[in-house]
Amino acid sequence: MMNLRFSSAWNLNRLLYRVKVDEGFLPLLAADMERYIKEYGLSEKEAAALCSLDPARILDAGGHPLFARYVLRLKAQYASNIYWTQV
Amino acid sequence: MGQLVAALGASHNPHLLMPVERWEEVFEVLSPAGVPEFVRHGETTDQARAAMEFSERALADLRKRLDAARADALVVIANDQGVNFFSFVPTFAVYVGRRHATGRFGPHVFDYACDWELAETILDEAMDRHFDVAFMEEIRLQHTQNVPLYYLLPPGAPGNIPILPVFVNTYMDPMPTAERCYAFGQMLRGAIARSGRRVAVLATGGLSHFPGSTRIGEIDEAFDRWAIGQMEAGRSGELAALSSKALKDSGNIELRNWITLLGVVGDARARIAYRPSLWAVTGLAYGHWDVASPDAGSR
Repeated sequence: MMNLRFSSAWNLNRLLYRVKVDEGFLPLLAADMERYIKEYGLSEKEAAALCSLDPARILDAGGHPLFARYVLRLKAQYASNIYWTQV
Repeated sequence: MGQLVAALGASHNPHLLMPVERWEEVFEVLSPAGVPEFVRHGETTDQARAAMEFSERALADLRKRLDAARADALVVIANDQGVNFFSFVPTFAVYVGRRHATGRFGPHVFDYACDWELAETILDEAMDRHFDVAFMEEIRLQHTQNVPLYYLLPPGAPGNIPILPVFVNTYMDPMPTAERCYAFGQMLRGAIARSGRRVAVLATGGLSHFPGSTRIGEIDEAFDRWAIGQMEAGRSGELAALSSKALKDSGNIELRNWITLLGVVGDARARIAYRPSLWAVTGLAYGHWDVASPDAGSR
């Protein structure tokens, strides 16, 4: 069953939320992911999922389906995808 | 006395503000594991274009109906998708701010005056009916509002009426039951009656789809057609009785927005245009209700 709660992985979802709504955060995260993993207090599993940039692993770590896909914005081949022109 | 002068429902699929030639590009980011082959190969560009043209025609018809209703305001019942609500997630919320509601979608800039007096009337009615509704002073419009508004109240068009954004939680568990959404809609109907306004109401979203899920691309067409049948027959109570599990299993969590609208219109009959589109990964639906009928608001 798809997890539709934020609270199961609150710190991970806090970070993913910022990836979705804060355009200025993307380059900061890309430049120093370790810093934000510490700042947001991600668990080992959450950190590994984030570093993988794999939405499936993000979901598995408790990321909300509304946010998980947004890690793909950090992959060069998807950076200019038309989907990101809206929220 | 206020009056309900139009009731409309429309999908808010982001594809509808993107060129069909780029719909395939969206496949890459829609799903954790990518969009399945049955979606990619299940439709052609021409079929996707036909779905787009179907939507454009249906939305143009809804715009004519909205214009003809000469409404003073358009209540927009939609869901948030992790844009306005995150650390606080209301079950129902009303935008009461006196500033314009704004947002962007690609090159399109959305900027609407909002009917804050109607918002305050809704809050008063809600409290009188024991609905503890949240209210918000700031808002960022998103595709759940912008996509249908692009067609119904085109950005920058002269004479656009004010809107009033109303939110129903359809994405963060726990979500309201269909029965509670319906009762919320009945409360809205009461607020409209005491508003002194000519009010139109729009519900957005749906029908069947599984955004962000490994089930992306599935469309429960049988469920969608059953739900449409109930709405066209004026049997709103059938949808108000749906379980949350039934909504989730059929990819119809956003049907809560439409069921809220059913609370507004009661047993009025709908006319709904429907076309499932694999490339849009959604059962696309556009409807209007006969709000002048004796059954409107009768439940």
